[in-house]
Amino acid sequence: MTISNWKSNMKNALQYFSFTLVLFLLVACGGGGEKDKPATPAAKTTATLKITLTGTLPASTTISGALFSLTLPANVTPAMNGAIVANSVVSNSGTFANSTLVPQVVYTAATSKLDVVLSNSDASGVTQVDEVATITLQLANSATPNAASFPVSAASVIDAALYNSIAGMGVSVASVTLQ
Amino acid sequence: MKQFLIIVSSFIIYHSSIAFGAAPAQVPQTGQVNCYNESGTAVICTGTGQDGELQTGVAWPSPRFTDNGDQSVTDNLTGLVWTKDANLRKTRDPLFGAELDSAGVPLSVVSGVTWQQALEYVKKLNTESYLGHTDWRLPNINELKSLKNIGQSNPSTWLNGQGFSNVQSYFYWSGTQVAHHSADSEYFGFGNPSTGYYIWPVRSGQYGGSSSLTLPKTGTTSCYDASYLTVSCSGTGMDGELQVGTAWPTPRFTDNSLVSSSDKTVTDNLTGLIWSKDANLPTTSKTWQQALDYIKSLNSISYLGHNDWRLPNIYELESLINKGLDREPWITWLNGYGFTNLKDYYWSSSTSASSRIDAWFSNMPYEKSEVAKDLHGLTMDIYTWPVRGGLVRLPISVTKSGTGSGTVTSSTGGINCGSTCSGAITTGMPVTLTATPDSSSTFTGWTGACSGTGTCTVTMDASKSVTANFTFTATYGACGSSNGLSLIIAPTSNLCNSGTATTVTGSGPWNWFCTGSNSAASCSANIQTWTINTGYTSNGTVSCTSPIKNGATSNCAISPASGYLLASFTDNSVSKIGVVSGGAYIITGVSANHQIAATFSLIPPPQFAVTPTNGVGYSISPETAQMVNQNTTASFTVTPTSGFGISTVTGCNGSLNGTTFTTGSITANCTISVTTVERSASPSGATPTISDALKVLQAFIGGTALSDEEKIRYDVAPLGVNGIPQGNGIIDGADIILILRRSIGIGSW
Repeated sequence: MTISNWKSNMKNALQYFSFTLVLFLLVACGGGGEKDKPATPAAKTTATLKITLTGTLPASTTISGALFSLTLPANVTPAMNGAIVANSVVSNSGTFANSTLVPQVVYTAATSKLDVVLSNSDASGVTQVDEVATITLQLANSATPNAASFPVSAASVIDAALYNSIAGMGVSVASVTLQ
Repeated sequence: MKQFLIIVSSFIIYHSSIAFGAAPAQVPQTGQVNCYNESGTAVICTGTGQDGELQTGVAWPSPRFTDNGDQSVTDNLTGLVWTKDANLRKTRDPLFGAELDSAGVPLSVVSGVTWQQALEYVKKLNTESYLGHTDWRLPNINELKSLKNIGQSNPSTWLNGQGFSNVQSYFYWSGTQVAHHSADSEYFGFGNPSTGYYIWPVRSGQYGGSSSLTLPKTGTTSCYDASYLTVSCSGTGMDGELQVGTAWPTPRFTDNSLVSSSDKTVTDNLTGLIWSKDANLPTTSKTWQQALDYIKSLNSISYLGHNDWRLPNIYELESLINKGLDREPWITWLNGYGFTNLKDYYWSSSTSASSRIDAWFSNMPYEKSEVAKDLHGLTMDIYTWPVRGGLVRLPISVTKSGTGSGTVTSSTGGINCGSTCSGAITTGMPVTLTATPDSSSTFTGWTGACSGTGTCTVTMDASKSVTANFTFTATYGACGSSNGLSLIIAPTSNLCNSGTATTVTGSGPWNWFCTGSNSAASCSANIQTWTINTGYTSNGTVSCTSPIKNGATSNCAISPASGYLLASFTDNSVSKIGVVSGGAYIITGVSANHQIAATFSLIPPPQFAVTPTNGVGYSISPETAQMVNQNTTASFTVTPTSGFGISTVTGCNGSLNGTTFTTGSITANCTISVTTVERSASPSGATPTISDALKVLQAFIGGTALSDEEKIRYDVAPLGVNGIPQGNGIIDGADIILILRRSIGIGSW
């Protein structure tokens, strides 16, 4: 490369940097204009999800538990105690309300997945197909998710006899309450 | 010729021993079988009319003489027994008859003796019982002449070849005297002893042989002293005393003209000969050939109705001599029977063997026979006296007929047909004909004078014609049923269907020939051979000696292919595996076909033991050690027991796939080891905790990794029907829930 060529290239680079700086200043002047609009209701900080079992329970079959993977939308996270999901995030409710077994929950932030294992402590299992757990999540940035915002995957309902997956049954998010 | 004059002829009248015709005796043949012309040259006899052609008289037996082995010889023609030594006196008693000196001592040995000495010597033999007999005598003239063979030039030489010894070629004394004359003798050669004649003692035949005839008496009935005066015969030993022989019939002759005036013949009732009544029918004397020609002329005109007139042979002529009569009484005697014109000398048809230019003639009244053929040198006239009848020889002819060939021979008559198919045999004589077919023919029988198929005996009562029929029966050598067969032993029977078998040769194959008249067949029989069939599977061979002769040994070589060995071996379905030695099998004394079968199998590789280990939490099948061929694998099924999971299966370079553990290629003994993990969801086997469930949950969602042991230990769901964790090979939510529920006491494992 010659000295003449090097000078020409440097001139072009300075011209490109100047254009970008002007454009950034224009955008910043526009955002400052919303401080002039009327005040809006406070943003929701909590979302409460009701988890129910789906499908038809075969006769003579009782349920020992269920597990599923819940993908959390953006700005929705569980409460954590360090790396561990706080016990308050998932609680037995509904059919499993009397279970003494604490739900086992693992949150993977990288994938925004919340894996949940629900177990009832009834040795014979339960027969009601209904709500089994309540999940409470934190909202940020005014997030307003609904039930559809929480896709369920890898759901399986386990019988209480031999602990096989019960065919035709699954798990779904019955409702989401924002507070 | 002077010496011949000593001969005193006598009647030779023979009595035939065979019953034929009316004659009580027959004249024997003279022995002459040859014919000569006036020059002494031998000629063919046919048509000559000579004795050699006609050969009338009793035929001689064969053999004529028999040596009795006791120094005596029997004449089979006459039955007389003679001393074997024809000069016995000189041999046995050389000094007998010798001249004595004044002291009575013999001066020298003499060759011959006087007649009186001869008579005395015979008495000496009887006194001394020579050869155990006392009936020796001097032969009468008929007996002495009977030894002669007119056909032989030297009778003594011939007799010495017939069993006698020392037969002298000179005169021998007979016991017969010519009436009123000296004693008679017979000449047997041309010798000239210094003194006297020889002595040949004889006895009548006591051997009981089958003599052909007995000799007639000589006619002598008187005995004379040296002065020719009649003396008493008693004790003299003379013929006049002994009168040996067959008596003459009465009348001796029959004048046939008395029966028929035209029949100018006289029949001799002793011999059967029929003589011309006129004893000089030609009216003049003739030479010998003229006499023969005259007889032919008679036959040409059928004189007295007959064409069989002949000149008598010398024996026939001499049969008219009567030793008891002198010349005039003899003429008177014959005239009394009707003969006329009797003369002193008559020709015979017999030629002389010693002097062929001469023929015998007889001085009838003086009973001498001499030889001559013409009157040259002679002073007497010789006449012709025709005769017929008697024992003439009748022709017999043999014809061979048919497609075959053969030979016909006769017991007498000289037929050997062959080449001599005709002959002449004395009238009344039996002749036996024998037909012998050639090897290529069969004799099918006689026709003509004979019949049947055996030998044929013909009595010659007329001319005979016989046909022998031969049929060609070609004989070809033909092999018998053994030919061409396979036999286990040499053929011993039925060698030839036809022909004659030679000796069997060879030791199998065997050979023999069947020789026939027209061809010979070459025959053979093979020795039986047997087949040793070999059947075998691949991977080896069996080779046996085959085919093999019966009784021989077949050797079988057994060769397995590389890497193989003999697995089975049978001979005719009987196992012989224990008999096979060193790759060989031997079949001795083969006597049947054999079927050999063999199989071969791989030589087994080394085997090694693969031993499974039994332990807690699993079962393994097979559960005992397995012998596994080198470089092969073995498989085991490893099944966890309830509540356990298989952690590892190791050993024998194997690998686990599902529940099947397959060893690697086995090269040595090895052991399979199994480790298990109890599906307890807790390392210590205690009740699991929430932490265990959480750990499983972390693993489930991929947050942490479980060890292999943990993967088993926490794989508890589902449960078995017995409530024991069964697991399903994966860690899932069921395991977590189950662990959770177990952590609070739900379940019982």
